[in-house]
Amino acid sequence: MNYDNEHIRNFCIIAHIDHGKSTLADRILELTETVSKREMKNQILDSLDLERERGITIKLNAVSLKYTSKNGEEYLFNLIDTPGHVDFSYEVSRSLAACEGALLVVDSTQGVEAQTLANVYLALDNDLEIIPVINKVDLPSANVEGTKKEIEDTIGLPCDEACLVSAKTGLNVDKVLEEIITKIPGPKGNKNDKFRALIFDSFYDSYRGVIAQIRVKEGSVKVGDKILLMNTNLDYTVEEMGIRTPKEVKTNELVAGEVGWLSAQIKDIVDVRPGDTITLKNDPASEPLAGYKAMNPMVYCGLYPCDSKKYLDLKDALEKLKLNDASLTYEPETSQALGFGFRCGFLGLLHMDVIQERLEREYNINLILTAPSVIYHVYKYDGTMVELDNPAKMPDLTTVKDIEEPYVEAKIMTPNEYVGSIMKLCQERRGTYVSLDYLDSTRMQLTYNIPLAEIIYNFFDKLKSYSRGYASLDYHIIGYQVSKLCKMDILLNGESIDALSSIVHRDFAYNRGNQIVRKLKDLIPRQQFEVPIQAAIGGKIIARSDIKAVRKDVLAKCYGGDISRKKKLLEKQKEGKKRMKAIGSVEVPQEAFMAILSVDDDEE
Amino acid sequence: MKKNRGLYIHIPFCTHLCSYCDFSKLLYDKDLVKRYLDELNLELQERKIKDITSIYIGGGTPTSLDEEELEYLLKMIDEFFIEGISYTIEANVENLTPNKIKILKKHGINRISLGVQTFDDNLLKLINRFHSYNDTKRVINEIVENGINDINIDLIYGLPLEDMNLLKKDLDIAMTLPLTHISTYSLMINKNTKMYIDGWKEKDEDEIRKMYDYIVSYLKEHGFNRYEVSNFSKDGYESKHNLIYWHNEEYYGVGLGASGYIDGIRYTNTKSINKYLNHMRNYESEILKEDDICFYDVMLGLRLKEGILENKIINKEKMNELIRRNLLVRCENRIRVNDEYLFILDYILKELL
Repeated sequence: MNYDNEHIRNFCIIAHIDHGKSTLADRILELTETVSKREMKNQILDSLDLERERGITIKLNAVSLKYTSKNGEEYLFNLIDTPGHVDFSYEVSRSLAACEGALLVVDSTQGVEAQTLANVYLALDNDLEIIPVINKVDLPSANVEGTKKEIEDTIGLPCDEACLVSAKTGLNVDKVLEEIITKIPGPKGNKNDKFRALIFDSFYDSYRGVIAQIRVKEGSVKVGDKILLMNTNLDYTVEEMGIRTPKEVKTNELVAGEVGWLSAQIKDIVDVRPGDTITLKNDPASEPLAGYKAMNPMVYCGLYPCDSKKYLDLKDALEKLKLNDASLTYEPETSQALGFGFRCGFLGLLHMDVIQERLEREYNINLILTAPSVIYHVYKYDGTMVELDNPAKMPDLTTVKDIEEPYVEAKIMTPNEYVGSIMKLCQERRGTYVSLDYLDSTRMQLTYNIPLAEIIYNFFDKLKSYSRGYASLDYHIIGYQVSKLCKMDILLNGESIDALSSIVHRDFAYNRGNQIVRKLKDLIPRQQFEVPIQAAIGGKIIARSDIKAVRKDVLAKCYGGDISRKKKLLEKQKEGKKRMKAIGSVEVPQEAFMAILSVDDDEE
Repeated sequence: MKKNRGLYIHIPFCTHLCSYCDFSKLLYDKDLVKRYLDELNLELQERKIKDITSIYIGGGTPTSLDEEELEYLLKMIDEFFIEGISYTIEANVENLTPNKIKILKKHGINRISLGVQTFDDNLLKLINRFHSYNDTKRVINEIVENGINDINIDLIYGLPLEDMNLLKKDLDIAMTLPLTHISTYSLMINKNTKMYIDGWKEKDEDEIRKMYDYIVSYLKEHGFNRYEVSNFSKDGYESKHNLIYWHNEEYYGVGLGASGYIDGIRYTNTKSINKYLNHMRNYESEILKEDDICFYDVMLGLRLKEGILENKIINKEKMNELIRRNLLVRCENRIRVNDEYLFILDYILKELL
């Protein structure tokens, strides 16, 4: 059935993690009877298990719904889901660009968070009509009036007519559906113009190749058409297309205003980039749609199998994950300490976490991750520049003129009372103060420029603990700046362990060196002999601690009843040992390689 | 080697609770003891016990039973007793009366394991034990006077406030007594014990090791050889019953929470007294496969000074590495743990198994 532009609504939901986005989406699917109660799994849009477990959305999904309004007319709703984490803000902006409107869901027990605000700004950049939806009004701790005022003060969005809902119970969700019709405009594009469609997501299907999720902005496309991806300049022939309800339904044509998917035997997901524009090869549009950016990984780390025999399994697993994840990069690398592995690039720490968990859980590979690193620009006296993604590969310091590191602009939203301690945290993390703004009488927004490397060193957890969980963070890269950086090596038993090297600021090196060796001493179990741990810069030892020799490790009493229990215990402990890596004769647990991330947990 | 088979009988009752004990035990209650002994008798019959080479009555505190109950208990065991086998009972200083000793002797008990823990009266109070050094001396004399000459004492070291001087004092006193065997364990403070709740902490690993090393060399000098991690004896007085465990031989376990190993199956009885009294005694069992048996052979055998036959060890590559690292010692066709590393046996097992 065809709908004219007046009867199509393309929208998404903006919300902070846990504010109820997925629950609201579920209720909308139920109310429009898109999904029968029987098929209803909670949070049906989040299709990865991991997403469902963590209650966050990583990959985007879009679903088309039929809705008959109170005035009796039938509408086609395209609900485009957005990921809810700072790592994925570009992807969020692309899915926003596929919409005319957005539901802004705010938890009335929590209020507006920095992440939400950042996404609202993205939505405003894309000229979206925003409908405020105040959620969880059924809870005793709900503060509806306060939340309304906060939205008005921070975003400038009038909230007199905000929908007051409980996504959990379904209260007033029907009103939201009517608001979508009255407030959000239908799509504008003309179906007779030259064909332009925005790619806002893609995924890999082993039979059909890459499936692109698209929003047709102008013109139309049919099965059999030759298409051109304007930014990558690659062309294909469309094999299949359709919409998702959320089951796939094939169609022969997608026209301006519609949201759907198409396949064209595209082999590599890297070629189908979010934000790229599809046009017709033989009748191309003159300009691609605005807003395209090539996404580059921001955070790198080494991934090594605990058991070196699993190297090829790891390679296969990365290949498979890569099929569906254009932002993941990996290249083989060798570490003296860890053997063969891969240097992998991620959009951010959450992305890294997700990949690690999927490798361990779905592919059953125990991994050692080295501490994440950003990309440093190392300028040498000979005039060349090295992009350094692995601290161990730092060129000889005598050849290095300058080192630049990436900086972010970090926006932190916090209740007033925590401003002092958060400013202290930002200073400790080498931040440069930019501004402090009152959002309302109780909340402030702090802006700092901070090295990205400091953000990935446990900044978020620290921020949460300094503010009892109330502060929220959003950041984006603003460019590279010269810093007084150097490489710090860690020596175990006198031998430098490449996988433990890190780049540190000179002024903080002693402190960090001390913290790391102490942390490692706690993390590495006692060994047969005493093992010194040292931190060194350019061959000079700056900190030392010793792992003592194991002196007592025995079950003192072992009689009739203790025997089976002891066997089970030994087997369990052996299982734990599998997650350790033998470096020389020292057994090093996985966490030790990430020690550098958690050193700030030890108060001086 | 002659095949041995043990019989372990568990008496879960105590007249008071020691502040470090986290075993499942019951406060003595006359009515409960009666019902327990009846059910125990039933289990002894149902286990079809035969061909045993040692008996061990442990607890709890077996001597918390009164004379009549003790008599009843030992009578039901009589039919399994064979002249000449090792027959041990655990006893507490405070309730082992001369009359009870006579009853034990009459039924063939030839070895007593006495829970002394320490000779220091202050430390005894701290761990909620109600005997004194003088009581211990007296009871041991009474045991000997009644013709039982094989006596073990349990000692605890690493008690709070105990230093090397107090440890040495305990050992000096022990040497004045007619003992054949000493078992010694470092204090463990487990959750759900009074000491844990009172906030006491175990001494650190290095301190405990210092004490252990001292005990080993002291006792060696005085004619007690360490034949197992925590067990020391005069020549020929090794605990025959406990050696069954460490040789991975079979034994019956009877009573609340008792474990046994019979016909290739390791089993454990329920720890719930209600279930036990209602004849629902099975808690869990493990049917052993060949690798399990090897695992147990190595895990248990390496506790002993004599070690194990080399062919019991499957991972020869690791074995040779551990020999190179001086952790294991090869002696003809046997492998044992280097004396110096017996106290980190589990560290070795985790590599070897």
